[in-house]
This record gives sequence, C-alpha cells and structure tokens, in this order.
Amino acid sequence: MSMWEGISQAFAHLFTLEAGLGLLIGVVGGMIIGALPGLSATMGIALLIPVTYGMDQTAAILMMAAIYTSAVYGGSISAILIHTPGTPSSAATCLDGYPMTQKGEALHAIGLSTTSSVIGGIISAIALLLIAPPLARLSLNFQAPEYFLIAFFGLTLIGSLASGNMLKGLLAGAIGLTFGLIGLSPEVYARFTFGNFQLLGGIDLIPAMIGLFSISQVMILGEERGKHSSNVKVEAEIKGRFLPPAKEFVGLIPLILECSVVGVFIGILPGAGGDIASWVGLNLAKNQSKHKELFGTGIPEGVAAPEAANNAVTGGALIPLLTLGIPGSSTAAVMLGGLTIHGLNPGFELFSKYAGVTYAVIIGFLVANILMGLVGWAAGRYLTKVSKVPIPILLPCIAMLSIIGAYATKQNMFAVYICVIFGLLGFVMRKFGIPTAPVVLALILGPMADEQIYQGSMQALGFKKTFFQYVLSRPICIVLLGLIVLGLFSPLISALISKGYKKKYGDVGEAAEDI
Amino acid sequence: MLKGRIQDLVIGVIALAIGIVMFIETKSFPDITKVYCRIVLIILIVVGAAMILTSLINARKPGPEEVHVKEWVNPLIIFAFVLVYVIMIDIIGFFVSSAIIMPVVMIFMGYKKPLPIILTTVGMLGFVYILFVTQLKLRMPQGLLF
Repeated sequence: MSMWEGISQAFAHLFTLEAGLGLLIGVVGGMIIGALPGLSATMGIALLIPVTYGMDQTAAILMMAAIYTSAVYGGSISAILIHTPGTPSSAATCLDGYPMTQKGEALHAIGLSTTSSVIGGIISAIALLLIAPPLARLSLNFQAPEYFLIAFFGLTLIGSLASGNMLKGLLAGAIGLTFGLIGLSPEVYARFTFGNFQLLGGIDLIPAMIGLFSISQVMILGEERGKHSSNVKVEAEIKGRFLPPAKEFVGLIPLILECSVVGVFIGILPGAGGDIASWVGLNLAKNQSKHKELFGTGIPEGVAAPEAANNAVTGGALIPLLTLGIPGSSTAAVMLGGLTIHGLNPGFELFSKYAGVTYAVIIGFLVANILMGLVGWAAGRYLTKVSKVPIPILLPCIAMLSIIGAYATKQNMFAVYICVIFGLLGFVMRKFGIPTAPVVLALILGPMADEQIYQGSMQALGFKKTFFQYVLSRPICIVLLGLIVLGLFSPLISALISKGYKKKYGDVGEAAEDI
Repeated sequence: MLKGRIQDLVIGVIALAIGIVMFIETKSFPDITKVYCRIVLIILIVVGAAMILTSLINARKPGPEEVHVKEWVNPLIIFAFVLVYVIMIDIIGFFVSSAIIMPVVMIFMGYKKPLPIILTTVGMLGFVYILFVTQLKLRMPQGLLF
C-alpha cells in the first residue's frame, strides 16, 4: 500500500468523536502531567493505558502519542515559571527561561517555548510520515533470526536507559528478563510458575509497569509527609505578550528549524532522548550566537533552541518504535507496551494491514502538536497552578488510579497484586539507584527473543544448521549485528555528551526523575 | 568498606543467589526452553558477580549514596496503606474502600482541610464511576457492601 493510499484511509479513522477526544485528552492531560514536577510522560502513559482498553486503536495510540509530546512541552512551563523542570527534557530551558520570568517576561518565555515546541513537534511528525514507511518496508525481509536480533538490539539499549550506573542498568535488565521467564515457554512448558495457574500466561506487562512507575512514585511522594511543597512561588506576575514579536520570531526561525532537525535525528538514535537533545540545542544556539555571554541571563534563543529540539525528539523516537519495534527511551518502551495491548505489532504490518490506523496516528500526532500550541496559548499561564496541587491530595489519587488501572487489565485482583508487588520492587530499586525502565524493556523484549529463538531453531533445523549458523548466513542479520555493537557503545557516547553539556552549563533545578 | 558499597555488595549477592538457584531449577526443563532460560540466568549471575567484584574492588572509594532506613518509614507506611486498600477492595468492594482510604491517606500526609479532602474523594470516585463503569463497562471489584 502506498503512503497516499494509507493517508486517504487515515481520515476515516481520524475524523471520529473518539479520536478527537483521545487527542484532546492526550494534549491537555500530557501538559498537566508534564507541568507537575515528579510526574513524567512515562508514568502518565503507563497510568492511562488501561483507560484506553475500551477505545478504538486509533484513539488509544493517538492519546498516548499526544501525551508524549505534550508532556515534554508541559515540562517547560514549570521550568520557566518556578525553575523546576517538569520533565528531564526541560532542564536546559531553566537556564534562560527562569531568568526571563525574573525579568517579568514569563509569558514571553512561555510563548517562545510554545512556538518552538510546536514547530519542533510538527517537523518531527513530518519526518515520521516520510521516513517511517520506507523503513517499515525493510522489515518485510525479516524472519525469526532478524526479529531475534532486533529484540537483542533492543536489549543492548538497556545500558543507555540506565541514566547513572551502567552495571545497575544491566542488573535491572537481567531482573526484567528473569521475570520474563515466568509462564509457559514457546515449547509449552510451565517455567517458574510455582503451581499458580494465573502465572501460566506470564507476568502481565501493564500491571507490572503501573507498579514500577506509579506505585513506586506514590511511595516516593510519601517522603513528603508533613512538608508543604505546595507553596510554590512564582517570581513575577504572568502577564504581557504571549506570541513573540514578528521581528524576533523571524530571527529565531533558522535556529528553531536547525534544532528541530537535530532533535529528530537524536530521537531516532536509540538511547539519546529529549534531555540530550535540549542540551545539544542549547549548545547549538550558543555556538551560533554573537552574544554568547548573554546565555543564562534570560534570552529568547536560550528557550527556543532546547524547546524545539526536545519536542522534535518525540516524532523521531516514534520512527524506530513503529517500524522496527525498538524503543529508544522509557516512554517509547511504555508506548510499545500500549501498541502490543491494542494488537498492533511494529513493522510492515502497521503500514499495510493497519495502514489506516498508523497514518491516522501520524497525522493525528501532527495535529496534536498544533493543538498543543493552541491549548498552551489559551491555558499555559494557568498551568503553574497545577504545580501547586498539594502532594497529600495528589498521592491517593495516583494510588487509586494505579489500582483501578491494574485491575482493568484482566478484571481480576491477581493483576492488582502483581502491580503492588512491582510497586514495592520499583521503590526498592529506585532507592538503591537501580533504574526501572530497563525492567519494562526486558519484560517486553525477553519473551519476544524467547519466541524467535524457538521459531528460528525450528527453521534452522530445516537447513540442517544450528540457530547461530543460520543467523550468520543471513545478510540483514550481519547488519543488525553491527547495530548491536553500536548499541553497546551508545551509552558511553550519550553519557559523554550529556556529561559534557551538564559540566559546561552547570546544574539546574531538580527534574522529575527519568524513571 | 563504605556503607554504599556494602549495599551494592548485598544486591550482587542476592542477584547471584537467585540466579544460581533458578539455574539449578532449569535442569528438568526441555532442551530449547532450557537454552533460553540458561542464557538469561547466566546474564543475571554474571551481573550479580560483577556487582560483588566492583563493590569489593572499590570498597573504599566513594560511590553510591547510603540509603538511610529513616527515609523508608513514610514510604513503607504508604505501601502498607496501599496493601490494606487492596485487601479491603477484595472484601468490601472498590468504592467503599476508596472512600475510606483516600481521606485517611490525605490526613496521614499532613493535609487537614476537610473540604478539599471531601471534594477530591467524591470527585475522583465520580470520575472513576463515569469513566470505568458507565463508559468502559468495567465490572468493578465488588465486595460485601458495594
């Protein structure tokens, strides 16, 4: 099916009340989640996946994609107004955004952030539309050995999902892989089920994910007991002009476009997410500026560049996710879980059998970015009030939604207990500096690798080869093996880039932990 | 040895022990199942061993921050609330349990204004009822009461 046929089918999926509502809820919800320091896009999507069960595929995936892009933008608002990045992607925005607020230009800074985020998001949506279909066509040549290596490639990204200690990231991955062993093997043999028939189907991904991200966060918020963290002060009155003056905007356009393109490429690269893109964007702006010394004092370039770059990452990150099933970030890993739940398997199928849904999601993602700008224009200044919701009020609401979300997956209490156990596990892991995102990635990719090894071994038998001889006899596998080697080195490269920029610009306010 | 390093050492020992016990369990598994399981468990064992080694080698170098038990008290009480909440749902149903637990947790967290507590509880329950019961047609956990 050609791209144009897919697009023509997409409109029937997109112009429905359900898809429209999904889009709107995703944009507004994402913005609120992003603006709340302590909540991330990853957690927001994990929490809302159960809400999408009754929705059709387009509306559900669209809502998740809208939350993703909108949360990245929402994070900039608290970065600008209260010097606390709502998401790690907005840390670089604090440097010039907050000084602009102190100078009484808060609304101007939010306007710049909105405009740049919208442009970055739109460019990434266009890149997604143009790059994803030909890449997906490549996956037509894939069989079990290639899918095994893709799963393995995804697992090599575990190191890059571990923000600090790589060994602890690998441990988290190993924990996830071990949990992935529970249940029936592809040979239909019950492994590590301890006689419990509910475990035969394996560990349910969604309750585990909700536990790891949300219940653990509820426990961490419990540390705030008795503290009045709701008394957030906004330095200046939020008034003035929202849209940047025409002259200033025209001057910023080349920088915004450049940062957007850079953001898209960073998004495509596995392991390098919005946080790195925003620092790279800021550095790009500084290098090109004639007034380098003004950075950090509250100048428009310092807000526009990182915001264009971090929102451009979102569409870029969806390219390997939709075409090859490779999640390059924790948010993308959770979205992969969402796709699977709705019966959508990444690869060529998404661009052939489900082309209508996929193109509707891509076009809807573009619309979400425009809608994000409109909502930001209308309500951005009021979002700071969201940051003032007291934690004692927020905490039981998240806990209740987590429990009901876990229950909704299978409509039984066993899923709830899985969620609670993984919540405790997630809390302990986070306290000991072990990241939780690799567990999710391994829980998704482990069983996939398991299945493909089994199928590949069966195919290899037909050629009188071992599985590994069979793998080495296929040219695409050799390319994938090269990518795996690259993937193994990517955490080192990302760490060096990130460390370099953070050292150069110093630390900013506390960001939501990149779980 | 610095306390942060001891923590990592203990984590490594636990990972190693679980890996070895599970590896022994795979003896009775069929061949192809055994291969994948063993690959995974060898990864767990190797990572566990690597954590032990790095903790011992860097025993006196500053590393991971020490986790203070004091910091765990409130989160663990919150976890206990969550656990009690789930058990209550099983016994007396979702809505009644939520109506009891939510205000209790808010008060425990140090929030004392009754109106926002009542409004949040009622609002959230109404939201869940409309979304999950009337729209998504979810059969909620029902207990003795509702």
